[in-house]
Amino acid sequence: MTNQRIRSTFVALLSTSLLLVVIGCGEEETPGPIDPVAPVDIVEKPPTDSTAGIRGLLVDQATKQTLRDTRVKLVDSQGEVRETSTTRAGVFEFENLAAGEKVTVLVELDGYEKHESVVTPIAGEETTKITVNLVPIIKDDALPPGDGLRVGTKAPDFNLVDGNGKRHSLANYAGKQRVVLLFDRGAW
Amino acid sequence: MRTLMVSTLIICCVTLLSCSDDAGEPIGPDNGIDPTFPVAPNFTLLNTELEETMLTDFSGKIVLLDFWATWCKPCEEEIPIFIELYNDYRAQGFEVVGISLDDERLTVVEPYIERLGVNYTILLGEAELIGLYNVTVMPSAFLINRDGQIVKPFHGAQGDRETYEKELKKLL
Repeated sequence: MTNQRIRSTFVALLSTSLLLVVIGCGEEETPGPIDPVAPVDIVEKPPTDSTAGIRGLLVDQATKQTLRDTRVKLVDSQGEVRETSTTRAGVFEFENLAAGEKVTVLVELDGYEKHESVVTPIAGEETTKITVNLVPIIKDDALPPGDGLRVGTKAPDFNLVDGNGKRHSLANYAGKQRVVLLFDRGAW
Repeated sequence: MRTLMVSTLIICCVTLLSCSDDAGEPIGPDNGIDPTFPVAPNFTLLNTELEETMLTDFSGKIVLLDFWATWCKPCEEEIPIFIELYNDYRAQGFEVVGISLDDERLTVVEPYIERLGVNYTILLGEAELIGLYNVTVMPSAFLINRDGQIVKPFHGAQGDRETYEKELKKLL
């Protein structure tokens, strides 16, 4: 029973192929080059020089400390969003980006202003390196250490001793004359 | 089967833990190492490609560790000397590792080293390194032998190639 079915299937296949051969022979020669292989979708990736990567360092602008375990988002030109987290050294990385196409790097972290920067990764072997400085949100008028003063801010007063033991305070000079404050970084 | 999976998982965890423990530990004293010299404290810092680099990555080599900054003028005068020495002795296992103490890191370091043509390793320093190596003046350099020991500290700019070369030749 089964054998019979196999045999009949075989016969059917054989006759079909013979028919195909007959049709093939009857056809006129196709002009132009003949593609021996049926067209198949090429799954291979495009050459690597069209892809690029970004490697960045996330830093607190005031303290200059690197920021670890912080989420960093990237939005590409197609609007596709990717996410990663900074390493213990404050480094984040995005690979397989389209070279020459603008991407937006976004960082939202509590206590800092929202960061958004546009980067165009360059094609080639080198990864595009960036530094992202997060600006801390300043409450009231308090200045975080290391952030410095802004133009227009009232210069904080001080009272210091000079080389002859005489005291000077900025308030002694204010309103009387112009003052240049010079900070010497050290003996070296 | 289940037990095997669990134990494999435990072994994996232990391996991971022991790997992460390696960082930060100084190279332990080994047989045949002169105990008179202190072991150079190990560290993990980022290089200019933002890849983590440890001092122990250079073990077996002679290392000149240079603490510098882009704003430090005497440091700048030493850099051409280090480039020359590195070019002349790298084939004999000599490495120069410059640790930048710039707060702005890559932003200022990258254009600077490109301008001066620095071809040796540059690492982005962190504040704790200053205490770890007791850096009180800039530049400060430390000559480290193949066993990872500090054999000669140089405090301040030396100004000439010979000072470094004389010490380096003893270790080749």
